[in-house]
Amino acid sequence: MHKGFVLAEEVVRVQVDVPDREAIISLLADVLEKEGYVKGTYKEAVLAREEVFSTGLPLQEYCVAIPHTDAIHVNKPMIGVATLKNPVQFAEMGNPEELLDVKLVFMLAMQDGRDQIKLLTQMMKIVQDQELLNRIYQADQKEIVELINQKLCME
Amino acid sequence: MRTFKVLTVCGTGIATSTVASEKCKEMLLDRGLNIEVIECKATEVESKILVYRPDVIVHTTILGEDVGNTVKKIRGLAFVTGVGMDKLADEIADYLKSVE
Repeated sequence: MHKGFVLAEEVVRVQVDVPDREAIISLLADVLEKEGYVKGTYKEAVLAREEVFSTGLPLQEYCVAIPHTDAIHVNKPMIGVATLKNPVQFAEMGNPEELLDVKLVFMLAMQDGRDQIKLLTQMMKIVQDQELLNRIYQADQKEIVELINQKLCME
Repeated sequence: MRTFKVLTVCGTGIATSTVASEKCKEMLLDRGLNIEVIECKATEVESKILVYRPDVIVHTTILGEDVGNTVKKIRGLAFVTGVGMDKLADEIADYLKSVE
């Protein structure tokens, strides 16, 4: 499918130990910025958006968060990925009263357009595949890249 | 049967609302309904209601209590997580059939 998109190993962090939501968003935003995928304004924009439009997804075993922001803060599409040693709390999407223990973060740097929709649809298939999430959670950096790229290339 | 209009809403209008919209359309077509879906940002809801006149709003993000109240609102998170997706599609289908 979107042959243009390949998950880069540089933006994957495994078994990160962070105190809270803000810390993991900052960490991944810094990584994405350093690698040139997002602009300097991206981090603040994601943090601010998460306050208003939370992105935690309630799933059976591992809750996942997909923080993101508007396309204007993005240079090139990418997904920052982190597995968390200890869960951090994100509010549920559309329901800020509900706090979820999140162990996997997919931080989306997206741009408008048809390819992004395909990419997101594929991303959501990953989120809906509990067994795959388990494998991702236990994998190292290189394996995560392989697992996700395989999934994103299928179609 | 007439074509029902669904408005899917999320924070940016390019992420989860798009996913929800594709899934919503697919599942309601499966349930024998004619469906048209458009997506928008949470901040655009009121203006979209005026021009698009949706039959139902499916939102993956929080909408203020005073937003979109002229239209039935249903939370669409299940379309994103996959958990409880059939039940949600049934709920929307039942609602639309009831207003036909």
